[in-house]
Amino acid sequence: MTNQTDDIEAPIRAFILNDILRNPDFPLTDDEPLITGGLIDSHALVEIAVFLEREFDVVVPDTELTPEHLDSVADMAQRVRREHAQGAG
Amino acid sequence: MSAPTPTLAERFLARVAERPDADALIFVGDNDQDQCFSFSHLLSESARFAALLAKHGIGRGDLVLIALPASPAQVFAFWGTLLLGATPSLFPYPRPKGLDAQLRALAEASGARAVLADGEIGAWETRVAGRDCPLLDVRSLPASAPPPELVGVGDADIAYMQFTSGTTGRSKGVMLSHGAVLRFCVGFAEALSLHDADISINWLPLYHDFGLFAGLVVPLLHGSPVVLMSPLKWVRHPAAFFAAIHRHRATLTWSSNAAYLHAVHNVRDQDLDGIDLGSLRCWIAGGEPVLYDCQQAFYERIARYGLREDAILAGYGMAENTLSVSVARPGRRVTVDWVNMAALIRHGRAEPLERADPRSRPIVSSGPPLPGTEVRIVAADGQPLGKRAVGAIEIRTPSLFSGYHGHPDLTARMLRADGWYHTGDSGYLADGQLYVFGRRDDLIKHAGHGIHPQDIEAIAEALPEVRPGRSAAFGVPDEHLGSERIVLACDLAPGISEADHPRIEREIRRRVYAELQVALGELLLSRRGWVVRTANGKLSRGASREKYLHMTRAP
Repeated sequence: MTNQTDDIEAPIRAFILNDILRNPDFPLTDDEPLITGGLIDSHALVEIAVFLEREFDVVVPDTELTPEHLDSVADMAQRVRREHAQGAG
Repeated sequence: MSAPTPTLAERFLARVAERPDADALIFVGDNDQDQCFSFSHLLSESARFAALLAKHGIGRGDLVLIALPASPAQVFAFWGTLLLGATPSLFPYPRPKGLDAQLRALAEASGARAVLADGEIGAWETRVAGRDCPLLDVRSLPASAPPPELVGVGDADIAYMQFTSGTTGRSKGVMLSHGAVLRFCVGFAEALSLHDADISINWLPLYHDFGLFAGLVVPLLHGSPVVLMSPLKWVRHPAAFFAAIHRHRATLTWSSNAAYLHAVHNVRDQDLDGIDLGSLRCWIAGGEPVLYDCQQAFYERIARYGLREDAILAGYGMAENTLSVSVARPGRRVTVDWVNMAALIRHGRAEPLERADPRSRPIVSSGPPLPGTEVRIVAADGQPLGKRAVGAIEIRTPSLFSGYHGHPDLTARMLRADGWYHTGDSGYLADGQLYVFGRRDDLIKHAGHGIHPQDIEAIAEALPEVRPGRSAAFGVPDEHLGSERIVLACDLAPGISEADHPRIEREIRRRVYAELQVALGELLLSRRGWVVRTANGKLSRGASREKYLHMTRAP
């Protein structure tokens, strides 16, 4: 699962496995649906948003706290990268 | 308070006539911009919804499903439906994708005649189960409309339909008459000594009985203003709720036990700078058992902002009773009973112990019964039990439901001819206070929602890999959630290899989410028969739960 862009995916995956799922052994993939896949409750998105904001210095508005926006580790990493790119440009 | 008039709409109109210009509804929007509506403004906005519904033939006795976000429109739609003598029912919102199918299934099963929505629902066939059930988009409301003439609705007509647990065809519609709701309003207002100067504030979802009746209907019909905030905003910015209490000098509010911990974990001191909560005289928790440790952690966290200890109270109720059976009376510190928990479990008696005794455990009082409410504790054979004996809670009250929609057999079993309703919860009475700690039969209390284990087991057993009748769902306490985590154990069919487990787990989780919008806390898949059954082969959820707790208990 590791690749050269894993700097953002890895901490998100670790947070979800350890703090939300509390099952570090689950074979979670980056594109796996988290909410619609029934792995985590939608209210855990709030905790994940707080984590993303703290860890990556981004702002995640309430309107994005839905499975349509953030349903996988890949969605979350992409969200962080997009804001970082905008901030840099 | 004067004797109740026969219907909610009449009582509402009486309040509008008394105080047309007084504040009725204040909605805390995004960026903390408050939208204010006076009683007469609330009526004129509700009349627009009534006109839209009337144009589509909705009238006395018709069921209207309201699928709107937490907003002023949700409140207008509720009163607008009642103005026509029709029966509103609020549907959960937000609706993740896939819930549209459930709204449709509910419309079919419930006999609804219209659905009010905000236009985000996909294709909708107007004919549902052979009758008209149009989807009415709130963007097509008339600009203004006069309030309709009231139709002859009686005390026994259905004022509200509360769907319990889940939104599929499996959920039950609890039918509440105008008489039941109005009698509840009188009793609840008396228990809380509600007065004209009270300002209530609420973030609980209105599609739950607690949010709707405590947070909206009781105060409005009493003539006092209601401040509302969306549940999503509470989840995301709990500090905004405390700021709104301060800004509006609110006196009453409501929450779940899980909400205590949400505030403890997610409110930062810098967000509460300058906030004074001294106006609050009631912060009443309910909807799930209230735990002493959660209540204490909340008080210790928030006390420095002026929250009074005697405001932190608990109550007990259920949709079948409109809402509360009992509630702690404001102005007195909550009663906590320290009992010998081991003896309670073994002998079914709540023996009081000194708090300092290492064997003692605290049980938070749910308060005395409401005025006019009878509560009794009975043994398994139905014989009434005495003080401090633990048994099944039964109630006989002026605010009981009229039955489950379309389920006369179930109604007859739960609501008996002599007027006693079997709640399915267990608890005891001591010194006039009701203590509740048992589960509502096997119901799982997950973050303020009741989940029927049968629903989860049926989803799992639809997979060919799961042995029929060999799965058990149950709730276990979760300190992080302040609520229950859902555990599902499934025995697998012969020949399933361990390599298949992740695929089966993913499939079960995906289906549980698609149907119930909850995530399993833990899924146990066993190839050797883990689920506990009784001697005659019947599934035992309780014993399976005990086995799980024993297995996971720290050594």
